Amino acid sequence: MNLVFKALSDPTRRQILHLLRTKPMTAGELAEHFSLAKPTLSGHFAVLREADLIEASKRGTVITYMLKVSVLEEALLAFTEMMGIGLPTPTPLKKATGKAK
Amino acid sequence: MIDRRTLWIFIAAFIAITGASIWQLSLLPDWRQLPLGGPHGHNIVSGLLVFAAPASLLLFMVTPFIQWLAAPRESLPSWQRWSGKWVVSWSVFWLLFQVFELAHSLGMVSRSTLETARGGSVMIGIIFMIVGNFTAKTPSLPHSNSSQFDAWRLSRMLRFAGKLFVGLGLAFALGGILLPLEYWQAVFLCLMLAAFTAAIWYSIKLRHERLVAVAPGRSS
Repeated sequence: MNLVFKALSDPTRRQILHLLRTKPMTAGELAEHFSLAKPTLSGHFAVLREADLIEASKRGTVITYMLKVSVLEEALLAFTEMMGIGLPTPTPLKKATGKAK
Repeated sequence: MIDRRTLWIFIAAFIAITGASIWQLSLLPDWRQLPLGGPHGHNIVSGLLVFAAPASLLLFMVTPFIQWLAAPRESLPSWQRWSGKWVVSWSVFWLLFQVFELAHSLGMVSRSTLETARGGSVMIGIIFMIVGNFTAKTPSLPHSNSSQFDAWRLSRMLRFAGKLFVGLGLAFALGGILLPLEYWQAVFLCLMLAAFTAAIWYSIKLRHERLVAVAPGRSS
């Protein structure tokens, strides 16, 4: 369960799961939605696979990812999205903290 | 195959359930005649009905066994993880069912008491919730021409079925505790019918949707 919490705590990984809800996507198709380096994105895929939230099928050099979440995991995903867990703190607060320092 | 601990749980449950069935059968004066309403029941059926629990347990193991035979190699670790939960859940369920049947045949509990009906409903509800939760984790089988769905549609169908199971389980558990028993049978039947209709509707909906190719490079 720790792996699932770890996977869902990151907004990018939640975004990946959100995209995979509509259809299975290749790594390239998913990369189009993010301005992240390929190794970073691969790291996110690895965490999601480790948590068994996505299934990967490889054909040739192309990897296709498909969503594979249980009911509880879907509820957790919705909850973490709703609570905005892992999102950066709003900018004004950061500035205020900086000034205080 | 499944891990060693799961296998032992299944074997122990199966031996216990079958042993209890044989013992139940030995209590009958005539093995061909089983009184359905307990020791003093009037409805007589074949004594072989006492083997319903072990037979059901074996039947519930057919699904993971077929998956194990058909699943591609890369799906096997996932199958091993999730089918273990399936095996343990149903082993425990049929074991508890057999314990109840045994107590019933010894005249210790009655099927008609309110507490028994409520307890049964809550137990079924919990099992439905556990099984429904990991239904979507079932490894996808390789696509074949005889299959109704491709891997993606099968995955969606399983996710929907999982939600149905969890919803039903929750309703059974809560209904078992909160609803008056005279309404419960009607509510139970309506819920089952609604879930069955919803599953058929969703499978038809999926069948008529435009094919989304799972194969790499062909995704639409």
